[in-house]
Amino acid sequence: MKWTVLGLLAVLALLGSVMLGPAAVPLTQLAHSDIVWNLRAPRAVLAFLVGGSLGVAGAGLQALVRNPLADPFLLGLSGGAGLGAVSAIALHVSGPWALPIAAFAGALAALGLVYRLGLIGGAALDPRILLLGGVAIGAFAAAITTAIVALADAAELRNAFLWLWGGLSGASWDAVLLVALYAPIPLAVLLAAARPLDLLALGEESAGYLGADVEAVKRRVYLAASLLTAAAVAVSGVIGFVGLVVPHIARLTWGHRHRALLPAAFLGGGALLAFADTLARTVVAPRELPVGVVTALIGVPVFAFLLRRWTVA
Amino acid sequence: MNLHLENVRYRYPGASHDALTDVSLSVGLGEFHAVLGPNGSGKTTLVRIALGALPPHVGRADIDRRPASAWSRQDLAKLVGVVPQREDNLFPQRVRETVLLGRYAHLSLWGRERLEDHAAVDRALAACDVRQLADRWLWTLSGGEYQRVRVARALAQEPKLLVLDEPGMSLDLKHEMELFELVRGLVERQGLGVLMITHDLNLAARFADSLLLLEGGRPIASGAPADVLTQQTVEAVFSWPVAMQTIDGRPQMIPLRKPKESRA
Amino acid sequence: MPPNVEAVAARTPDLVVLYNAGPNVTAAQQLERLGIRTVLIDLNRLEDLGPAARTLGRLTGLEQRAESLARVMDGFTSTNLHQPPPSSTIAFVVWDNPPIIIGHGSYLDELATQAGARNVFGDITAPSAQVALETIVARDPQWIAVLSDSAAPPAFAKRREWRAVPAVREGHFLFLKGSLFGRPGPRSGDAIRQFRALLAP
Repeated sequence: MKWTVLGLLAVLALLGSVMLGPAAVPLTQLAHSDIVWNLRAPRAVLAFLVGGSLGVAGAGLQALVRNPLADPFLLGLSGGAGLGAVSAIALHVSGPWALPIAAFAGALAALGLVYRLGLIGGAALDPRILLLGGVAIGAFAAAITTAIVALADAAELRNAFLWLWGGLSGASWDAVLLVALYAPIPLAVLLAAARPLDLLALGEESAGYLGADVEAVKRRVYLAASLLTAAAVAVSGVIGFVGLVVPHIARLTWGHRHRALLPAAFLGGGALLAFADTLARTVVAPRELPVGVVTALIGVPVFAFLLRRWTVA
Repeated sequence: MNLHLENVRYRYPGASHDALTDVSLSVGLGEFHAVLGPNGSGKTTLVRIALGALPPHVGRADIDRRPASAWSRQDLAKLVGVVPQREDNLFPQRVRETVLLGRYAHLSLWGRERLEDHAAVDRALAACDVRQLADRWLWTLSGGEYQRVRVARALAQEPKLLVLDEPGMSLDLKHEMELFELVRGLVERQGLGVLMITHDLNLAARFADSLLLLEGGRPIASGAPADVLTQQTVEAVFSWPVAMQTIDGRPQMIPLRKPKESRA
Repeated sequence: MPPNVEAVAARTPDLVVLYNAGPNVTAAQQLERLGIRTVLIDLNRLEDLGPAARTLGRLTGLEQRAESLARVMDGFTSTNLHQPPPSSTIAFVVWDNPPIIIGHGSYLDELATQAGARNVFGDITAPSAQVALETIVARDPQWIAVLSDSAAPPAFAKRREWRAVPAVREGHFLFLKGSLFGRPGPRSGDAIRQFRALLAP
């Protein structure tokens, strides 16, 4: 029953994304409209894929670091991506894919640094250090980014920050194809880790005694969640709150068993982002809000509500 | 099929002395072994080495004649069920769900839980007398009930050996007795081999077949309870005067109050 | 970036002229406290040119020269110039991801009006704004104007989603040199002339 409702929400969100927008396209012309096929449709699908990826990455990460406040962007990836993007602009790197590639490279560099930090206590990956390291590396990267923007010549750099705020403007069928080819692998890795993540909730020692290869699971979940997030940032900037809030909402209905939670987080995240993007495009038409703003505006009250439920329970 | 430690020596990295020196222990099916000793005597280290979490620097630690560290976590979980001292429970769960986690080692990567998995859970719940709690949330259970549920989870693994680390700590009298009876019952009725670390000398002496007494990482005495827990030995190891009594043919220790003059 | 107040003060200038915005305001206050004559000048639109010239003239004692310059600059403003009827539609794209366009009331918008082009985003009152790509497609401007010193098509012209915009597909770009079109100045007249030339069929 609940899956039907979720599926319905997802379909509605996608339909809404395709049917609604600042350019008034009459229903009768939907099927023939260039705007719908070349702009809205790929944008809707991309929003769904990105939102879904962030939802799953968030759920996996929260289980890994055993902290329900974890968001995929706590890993320092957004800082790295921003630095990559801004560096590319400052160095006048040209090419239509320059920005996403540079952002992805920056995110990977941050991932590598934080991973290295996480191993600092020995061969075992320490999730607490991952979190702290992520925040530290992220802040460091953000500081360098701000310095570059302040010192470099290009006025375009100020607009780069708008990109970082999150937007699906770069959506095209090319982008959709890339993400559709790339995302299934880390998604599959996370789904395969669903049961070990359930065990991990009991603590690393207990999980090991129950048969989980704890170190391998931690590594895989961290890398898969980070790779998903890196791709999301490269393609659509930093879209916060989806990875944080969607797993919690999903847990309210599906509980903590990750075999159900992860798919639910995917569908929920996808629906949420598609919906948020539709709002971003229509609420202040002809202008557009950065989608990261919309997810924050929706996410914060939802988050506050969830917090109340916790403290009451 | 057994758990076998021979002349094990181990020192933690950076430590000034050994955590374990020349310790030997053999736990077979249908045997109840208890490991005793004051704090810091190396009991938990012993369990870690026995389960392959730490490699012995000297000596061997085998499970079923293979080195403990050579076992994959998953294969080992089918053989040995462990109830560690501490457990965090990050998310609320029901009893049945948490016991089902014990089936992990038997499940295939993508497959769902099968009838036999649920049957194993039911058997485990019944053996630990917590069937009636199956749908309760963990946080609503008493300490004793929760411990029995944890034992049930270990049993759901369908192990041949059970390892428990201080299971009776923080349990009240009734629940602690019930726990020891439960473990004894598993040994006698299901033929499990049991290795238990415990502080409670008296209960260990009453229920276990064999005791290993450690002090400072060294084995002081091992064997039948009556042979191990003599007044002399207990007073020496625990640095406190005791009187010994016998109940059910097993030694029981009663700590004495120090004479008036030497009380502070 | 805020000016380095110390470095400026070290040169003991007679007058410091600052563009009136952001950190410059604080810098002006600091310079005033040091006893240095400072003036903040608004220079965002064509209308600001005349007053700016007059202010500078007053402060430097070169009123007559400033007045003649100011009169020329006054001539640039919409009320004084002969405005041709709009013959083409245009959109100024200053950033592609997300798409940022120039709206009504900004300098570029004014130049467009003087040059005979209608800004399709003239209904947006903010000087710049983020819009959805589909809005640009729907409004179908004949020209896409970008600030660029070269005549090479911008990078976003190759992106698949931008090619949904007819003007991008057909390569109808106007390249406006940053030095001339970035900000109002004495050469605004040149800017308007060049603009008209670019639009001419």
